[in-house]
Amino acid sequence: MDQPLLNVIDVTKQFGGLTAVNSIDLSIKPGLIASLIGPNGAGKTTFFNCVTGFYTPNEGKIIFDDRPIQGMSTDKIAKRGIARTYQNIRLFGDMTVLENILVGMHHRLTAGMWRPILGLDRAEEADAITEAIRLLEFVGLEGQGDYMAANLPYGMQRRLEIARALASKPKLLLLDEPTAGMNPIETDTMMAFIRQLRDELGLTIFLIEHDMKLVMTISDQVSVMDYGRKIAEGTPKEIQNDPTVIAAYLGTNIEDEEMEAEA
Amino acid sequence: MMNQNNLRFGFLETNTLRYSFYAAIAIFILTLTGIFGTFAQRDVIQDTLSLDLVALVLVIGVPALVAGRSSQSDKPVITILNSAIAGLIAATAVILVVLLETIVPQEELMFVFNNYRPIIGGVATLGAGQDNLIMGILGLLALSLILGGIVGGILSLPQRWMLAILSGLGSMVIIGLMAGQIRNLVTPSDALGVVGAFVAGYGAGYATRTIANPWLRRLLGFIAGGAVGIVFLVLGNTGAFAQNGALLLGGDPSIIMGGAVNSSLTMIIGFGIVGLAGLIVTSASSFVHNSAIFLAVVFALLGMLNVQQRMTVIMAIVTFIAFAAATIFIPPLGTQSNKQYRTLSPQQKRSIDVITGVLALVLALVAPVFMGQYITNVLDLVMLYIIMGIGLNVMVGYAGLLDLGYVASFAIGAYTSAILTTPSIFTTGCIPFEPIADARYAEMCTGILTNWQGVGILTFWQAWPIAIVVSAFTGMALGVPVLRLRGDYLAIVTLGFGEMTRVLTRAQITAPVLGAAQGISPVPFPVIDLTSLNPDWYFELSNASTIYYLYIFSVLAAALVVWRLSGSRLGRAWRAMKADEDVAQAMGVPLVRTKLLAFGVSSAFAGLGGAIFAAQLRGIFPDSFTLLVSINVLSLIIIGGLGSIPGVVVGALMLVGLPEVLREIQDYRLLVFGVLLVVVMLLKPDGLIPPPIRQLSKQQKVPQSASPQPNTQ
Ligand SMILES: Nc1ncnc2c1ncn2[C@@H]1O[C@H](COP(=O)(O)OP(=O)(O)OP(=O)(O)O)[C@@H](O)[C@H]1O
Ligand SMILES: [Mg+2]
Repeated sequence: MDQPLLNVIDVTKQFGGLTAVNSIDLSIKPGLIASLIGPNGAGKTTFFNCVTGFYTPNEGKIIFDDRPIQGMSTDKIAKRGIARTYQNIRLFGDMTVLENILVGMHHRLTAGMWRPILGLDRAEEADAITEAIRLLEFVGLEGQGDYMAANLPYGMQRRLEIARALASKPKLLLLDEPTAGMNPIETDTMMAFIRQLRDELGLTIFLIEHDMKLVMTISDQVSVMDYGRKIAEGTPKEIQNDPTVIAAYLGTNIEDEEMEAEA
Repeated sequence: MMNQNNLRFGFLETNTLRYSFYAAIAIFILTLTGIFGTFAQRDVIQDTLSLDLVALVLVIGVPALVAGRSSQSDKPVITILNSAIAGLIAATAVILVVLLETIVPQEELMFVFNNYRPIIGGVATLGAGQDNLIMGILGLLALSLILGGIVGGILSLPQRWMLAILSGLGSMVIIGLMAGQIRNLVTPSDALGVVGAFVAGYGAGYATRTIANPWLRRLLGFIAGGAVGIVFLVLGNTGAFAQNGALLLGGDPSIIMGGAVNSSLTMIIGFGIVGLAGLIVTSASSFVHNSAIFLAVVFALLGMLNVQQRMTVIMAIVTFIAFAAATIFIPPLGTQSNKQYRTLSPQQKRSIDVITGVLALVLALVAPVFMGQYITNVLDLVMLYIIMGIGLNVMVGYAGLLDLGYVASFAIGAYTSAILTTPSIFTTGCIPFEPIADARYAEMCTGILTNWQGVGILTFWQAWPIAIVVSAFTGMALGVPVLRLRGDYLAIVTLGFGEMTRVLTRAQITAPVLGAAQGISPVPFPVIDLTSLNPDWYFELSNASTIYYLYIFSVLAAALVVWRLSGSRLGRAWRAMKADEDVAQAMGVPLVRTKLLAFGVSSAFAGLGGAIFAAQLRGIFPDSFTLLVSINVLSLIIIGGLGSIPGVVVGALMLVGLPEVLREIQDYRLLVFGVLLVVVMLLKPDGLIPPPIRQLSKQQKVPQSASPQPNTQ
């Protein structure tokens, strides 16, 4: 049996009285595409934020690559090999496309303060730029390298965000609603692209998505959250037929049904 | 951007009302603080145009300009109408003060507004006194309508014509105001000769376009300039210039006139270099090309001013025409030279860049000879602020950390250097400013203090790097407690640091070391002592023209360091942090380290400037380190364009150089800053020269082609 790449044990995150993530257990094996679904406000993004170090969980453990990472700062976690994108695109808007990618490479480059001043970082920079351009081609942004990130059309910005995440050579890539705001054709392209990421780069991918067609087509494993709890987990087939999941999505819950029954 | 909420009622746009309302408030204050009265004594054009009239035109014209620019219509009529209305509203503000003066007795007004000067009878009422005040007011209203309309009309012209008119008028006013200080900078014969050599080289550049060998062309350019030099030499020998002054390039005029071979040779070589410059710019980037020609135009005008000795009407007209024409005709030429430049092979581009660099350096090095003490002094100050601006840009422009206490680092650099180079308790064990009770001790100390040289005190060259390092580390140390603060909070705390430093320098407890209000003096000037190599090589950097070299070296070093850093991994981390701190960290940027480096690098430059400043003033006093320094530096980098090095230069020239030259503005400095900031932010939100976009994909390693590059320049 493969060891899981990410193993989340009993993680809870509270905001004041609100428990946004409620004792979640979840593990992902290397090379899988795992999805996290659930109604709005279920706590999916908060869960991502716990994994990437934006929030420190109130309780629980997060084991990545056999080592605990909960409570570590985001830059240290990034170094360990987790990269992510954001639900609302967060690019460095007034930097160029290439510069965005180069920032993604930050922890893989070595120049500090003195080498650039003395002009000794040229070789490293040239290699980094070459690699960044290759990465641009990979995500289908060839020739866009010198545009300001903020000036790219929406779909390209999404791709750039992924390219920036890839630039850090992560083992695990977290995508928060990668097709949000896309039309069906763009969504299909993105779906193929996510598959390509796994197949060609051997990445493990964990994504949040509201587009059920995409989730059911590409996922190896689907977890469902509602009100901060994990209510179901399994293959896409199992999830599609799970009554609790259907109930959660239809907005009914068991108490309501019982009340109706009593009446 | 600024048209977001611009609604229109008939032809009138809300922006027009909004901006003219802001302007009216500013004008109201300016008028009450006596701007017209103060400016009335100063002429821009001798006996023809006085500065208060210029001020009147500006306070009406600028709102009209902003309103017209923000007008969304492409119909000139609408633009003109909106500009005219804005002018009218601006004039109303002046008239309000006029009316106030008719109601409130002058003494009472002057009691409240110390600087208030009566304006009735002055330019504000077009000369009309109390008896025909109505006529004056109506006249001003009419004038404002017409003036606003003219501004609107200018705005409706094609961009280049508009710029031409504005640059013509602007340079006319500036040269007019500076006339007294710059009238003897360049002799007419020098101007004629240098510009002649430049034009000859430039012409040679065009004539030899088809010649493939760049070095042959450069030689021809050199010869063309040299030939002009010979002509001037011959003319000089016949005494043609005896009247208007000698050729400065050759050194002592009497020697040139006497025809000493040595100096004549120097002169011909000098002219040849100018010719070479003329040739080089024909295939240089448009920036180099255009600045060189503008410089030549200024040189020519300075020569003419030398003949006229005052800003006469003719001089004013010529200045206007020269600048307007230059603005119209030079950029297209620049585009051509730029095209040439772009087609060159990388090696050839490099060779052009190196030559322009060397020529610019030579120009910068000989500049103090031409500029005279006064202008050099101003330039020194400008360069000090350029160094600090470049440094503060690291914090504010790149890392996005708003620092209002930059003066602290400046002060620390200045004090460190002063303490280490001047006798003090630190270096001598004696307290310089305190009478010493113990007789034996006092005797020893007096001895030490009178012969303080060589008592373990450091030279400037030893103290300078220490000052830089101390500034950098204190900067970082001050950074530690504020690591978690952002935006406004950071600004407030750093503001506090700045004030604390100033208070500490004045305090009694620090007095033995820092000298309290008396500060530290005399700080010795830097000395370059190479007498071991050559007995003549002993240089004292004791005045503006010699300190100038220290400054220019520092400016170049600062610009190079920051330019390199800004394009490096660290610079990208700074900018990413500015754009989105959380995301930058999640991409692997360690915030603490990156922020502290920003604090450190930024403070190091303030320290570097501070040490020179202490040596230049020969003493330092707490009063030199006020909040105003921080504000000046911050304003100039914002006006120039955050994160832009050329922007810092332009900002420093505008905010430090101009007020220094235009003494009248000194009192209104902060007001002018405020108005300028608002106007620049409205018209050019990214500053006058926004930072360039780094075209990284062009830097990608291209495999060297085996075939030889075509040889064109
Ligand atoms: N920083 C915060 N402080 C307080 N409450 C928060 C914070 N972040 C999220 N929440 C709350 O936690 C709950 C879960 O939010 P979260 O953004 O994780 O939901 P989500 O599943 O990603 O929803 P969506 O599908 O709309 O993106 C919501 O009720 C939200 O209001
Ligand atoms: Mg979410």
